[in-house]
Parts: sequence; C-alpha cells; structure tokens
Amino acid sequence: MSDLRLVIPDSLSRITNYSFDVVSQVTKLKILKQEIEWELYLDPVRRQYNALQFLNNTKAHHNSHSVYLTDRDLFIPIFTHVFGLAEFGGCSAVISLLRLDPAFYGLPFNENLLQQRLQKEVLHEYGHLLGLRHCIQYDCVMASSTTADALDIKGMRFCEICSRKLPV
Amino acid sequence: MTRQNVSILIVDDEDIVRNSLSGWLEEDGYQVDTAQNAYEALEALNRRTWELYFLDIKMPGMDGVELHHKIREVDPQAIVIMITAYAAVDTAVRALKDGAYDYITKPFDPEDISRLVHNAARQRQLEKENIELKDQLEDLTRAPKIIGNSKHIHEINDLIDTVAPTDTTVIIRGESGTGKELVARAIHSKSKRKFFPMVIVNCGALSESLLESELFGHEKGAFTGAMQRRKGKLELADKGTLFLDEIGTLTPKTQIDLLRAIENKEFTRLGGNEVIHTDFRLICATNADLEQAIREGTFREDLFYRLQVYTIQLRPLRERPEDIPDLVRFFIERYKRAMNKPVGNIENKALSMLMNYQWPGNIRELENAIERAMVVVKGNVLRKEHFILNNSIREGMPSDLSLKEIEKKHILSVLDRFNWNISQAARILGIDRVTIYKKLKEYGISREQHV
Repeated sequence: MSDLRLVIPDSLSRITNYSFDVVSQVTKLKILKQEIEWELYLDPVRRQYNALQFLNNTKAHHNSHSVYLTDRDLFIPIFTHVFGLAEFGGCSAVISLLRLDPAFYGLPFNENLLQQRLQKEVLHEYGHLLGLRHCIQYDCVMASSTTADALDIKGMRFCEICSRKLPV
Repeated sequence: MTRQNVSILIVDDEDIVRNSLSGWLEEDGYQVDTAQNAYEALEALNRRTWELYFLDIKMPGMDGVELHHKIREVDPQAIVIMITAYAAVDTAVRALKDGAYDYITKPFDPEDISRLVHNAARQRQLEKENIELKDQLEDLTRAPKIIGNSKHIHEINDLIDTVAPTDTTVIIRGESGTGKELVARAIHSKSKRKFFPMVIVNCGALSESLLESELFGHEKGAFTGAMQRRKGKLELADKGTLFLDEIGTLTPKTQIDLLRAIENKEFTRLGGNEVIHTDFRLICATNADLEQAIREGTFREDLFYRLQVYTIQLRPLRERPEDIPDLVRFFIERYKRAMNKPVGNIENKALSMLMNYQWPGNIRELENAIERAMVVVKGNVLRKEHFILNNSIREGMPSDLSLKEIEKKHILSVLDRFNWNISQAARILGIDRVTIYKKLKEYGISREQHV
C-alpha cells in the first residue's frame, strides 16, 4: 500500500503531537506542513469553504495519497456541511476539525475525544481513497457517520470485510 | 432488503446536485441513476421503475410536481422525495398532499438525508412485502371456479356473486353430486369472512347426540366420555361461515336447538350454563324434499323458513349436458397433473357418449368416471372403451308390473324429466302429442297431481 501524507497548516501544528497509532498500523504515515489558500474556496453567502472545489483544484501527488486537514467549515453544494471529503479511488481528501471538536457543540474541549475522532476520519477518508464504500457494519470505521455522535459509536478499525477489500 | 437492492432515481437539472447526491448515495451502497429533466426521467420510466425518486421541484419545462403525478401513474407505489431549492414550504406541502413521501431543502443536512433514505427504503420494503403477502393470501382464499358455460352455471355464478358479500343465510339445493359444497365454498371465499374459517358439518353422518355435541360443543363431564371441554362447530365458525350439509337429516330435537342458536346467535355447550355468542354466516345444503318433509311432519316449518332466505337450486347434470365437455376437460387436466400422465384429449365418440348418459351421481360420478379412465388409458387420448358407465343399474322397473303400468311409469318419468313439456316428451316417446294426452287421460294422470 502506498504512503499516506497528512498535510497540516501551521494553525493546527499541535496535531503533530497527536497519536495516529491505528493509522500507522495500516500504512506508512508522513506528516507534512503546508498552507492552503482557503480564501479561494470561500462561499461568501454560506461563509463556508467548498471542499469539492478544493479537491478539484488539488493536483495529485505522485504515487501517494494525501489527506489535507483544516480548521475551516467545509461544505459541498448539496450539503449543509461535511466532516471530510475524498475523491473516491483518487489521491486527495480533506478533513475539517471544526465539527469534530466537542467545543463546536458547546461542550467542554476534550483533546482525547478530538484525537479519536480525527483518527477515525483520517482512516475513513483514506478508505475512500483506496476505493472502499460505506460499510453497513455499525462499528466499522467505514460506516457512514453524519453526526459527531455517530462518529463516536463506530470503531477505529476496518471490519473484516473491508479489510479484505483493501489493496495489499 | 440490502442497500444494493434499493434503486434510486435522482431528477435534477443541476449537475452538481445530481453528481454529489448520487455519489454520496452510491457511497452508501445504493443503486443510483440520474436524469437531467422530467422528459429524460419519463423516457427512462418506459423501461423500468425505481424504488425511490428524488425530484427537484423547480426544473425548466415540466416541474417536479407534475413529474410526480406522471410517476404515480406508472408506479403507484413509488416513494417520492421532493427537493426544494429554498424552504418553499407551500410547494412542498402541496407535494406532500399529492402523496410525496417527504421533502428536503437544499443544502441537505447529511444526517437528515441519510435517515430519510433509510426510512423510505424501509417503507418501500414493507409495502412490497405487504403486497406479496396479500397476494399469497389471495391465492389461498381464492374462490373455487364453478366449471361450465351453460345458462344455468351463469345464473348460479350471478346468484353467488349477489349473495356472497351479505350475511344472508343461504340454502343450496340439488341432487347428490351437483356441487353444493363447492357453491358454499365459493360464497365463503367471495365474502368478507374469507379470512376466517369455513366450518363444515355433515349432519347426515352423525347420530343425534354426537351431532349436538359436534355443533354446540360440551363441557367436561357433560356425558360419559366427555373428558374435557370441547368447542362446538358453531363456536369454531365465529366470524366465518358454518356449512351444514344434509340439513334434511336433522332430528326434531336438533332442529329446535339449531333454530334457537341461529335466531339468537347464542347457545350453551352441552352440560354447560355459559351462554356463548357467535357470529357465523349459515349456509345449508340438502338434496331432500324439505317441503314433503314438512308435510310429513319430520322437518320443522319454522326452521325451514329461517333457512330458506336465499335459495340456490342446482340442476342435475343430465339437464345441462352442454356443461359436460368443460367439466371433462377440467377433470382431465386435474388428473393429468395428479397422475403425471400425458393425456390431453378425449375422442369425440367418447365425449358424445358421456353427454348422452344420465349421470344419476351427477358431477361426482363424472369425476370418478374420468379418474377411472385416466387410470386405465395407455395412450394420450381417452376412448369410449376406457369408460364404464352404470347403465346396467339404472333404476329398473320392478318385474311384477303389467305393460300398462310400465307404460304409465315411463310416460310420467319422461314428463318429469322435461318439466311437463308435452312436445318434448312426445318426441322422446316416439308418439304424437294427441296420443300423450289420450294416454294421460286413460291413466288418470294430471300435472297438478304430480308436480
């Protein structure tokens, strides 16, 4: 399996201290720092950032998969928001930390929970990049989760069926 | 239903909506197709249907509301979800009143849409299951077909169709083997009671005390051998139909008990005090001459009038030979399947023999004759020699009659057969009408006396 590049902006540099142990068991993880010019993707009416446009503009990085992290609120035109978005079977994915943070919902900041949610999201979008669809196993990391609660319910690993579909 | 089995059609003029929504739903494992506008959707609907439809309300040309109507014409069970560009509540409410399942407002909350599709797919699955189960039930409760194409059979079918939806008591009269039970079943299956039992009691088969216990049930210890409480047929027929065959054989005591039970729709079990209420529809059958029995005092007049609300009189087979070919074909088909024999036909000579036979045992006898022929036949066509008809035991005349007495009996029987149509009888007897009148006078026979 190819490497996974986790691209973070300066504003999220604290993430370099987060544990990505489960991701590391699946693939070789590299953390890179890079700023993204998000203002290009701002929708002034919605005051959100268009994840689809971003992915369309992002060049494939040779021979590896990239997951971009941001603290901006992401959307795609038909949805009010997305936690993340991946090109199905493609090279790039993007994840927003904004709605993963319990503080967004008026709850006390909980770094541990944020770490867990982020790691699940990274694995989930990586799964899409590898060509996995949503899984009906509720505890599989590929289960569809449209709320933070649903994200907490599912597990941090690929279920057996999804594991078998992963390229070796 | 797995998600792979759920097919979805998205109709929206905006590329971004079609592509994003279909991509997202496909990621969830649904089978998704898209159409750019209503016309494209209708074109596709000529070829197939989908389980769920997402329709944009605002589209150039035909809008989503109109498309919704057209889809309903093709696929009345369709589950349609309307998409509105902004919270245009008026239009959405109108769509819901027209039978849309729900509406969503762009941009969609991912959670809403995920739940919506899940619930809609579930609903569609339940509806499908419901229809399948109802079809299966329908098969189980389908009314038996009364075979035949004569005027008489059409009349019988009309009578059945008229009385079936009501709760009216029906009495079916006709010779043995004319299909009285079949008619009773048809009435039951076409009534609103069809999902409840049809309970059959053959009154002629049991002694008085056994029949009473069979009809009304008994309490534990009601008589020697009544080891436990037992429900009677009247109770078992609750909400259904009670079919009493050979009602003419009831003893006077049972007649009274039955009359009371029918009139009050309540009774007590043998040896019990508890009054049991029951709601059954009564159908009776008899081949006996009840009017004669009343004259003789063996059948209660009040019960007779209680039963004789709606009479269906079945004519014997010999009076409607035109039904015989249909019946023969029907029974050949039945035994062909049961015996797994490649018999498909009957030769004309054999058929005309069957049509000329008197069939004292009526359709039951015909069925047996065909069953026998189907057993002995070697090829695939039934021939005359495969049938044994009981011509030999047809009601013979006692041997101690004079020629005159035989002549008198014979003229009477022919007249009876043709319902006192003198011309027809004369033709059969090979004499002219004047001679018949002369003979009637000679023997002192009058129609009033014999009809």
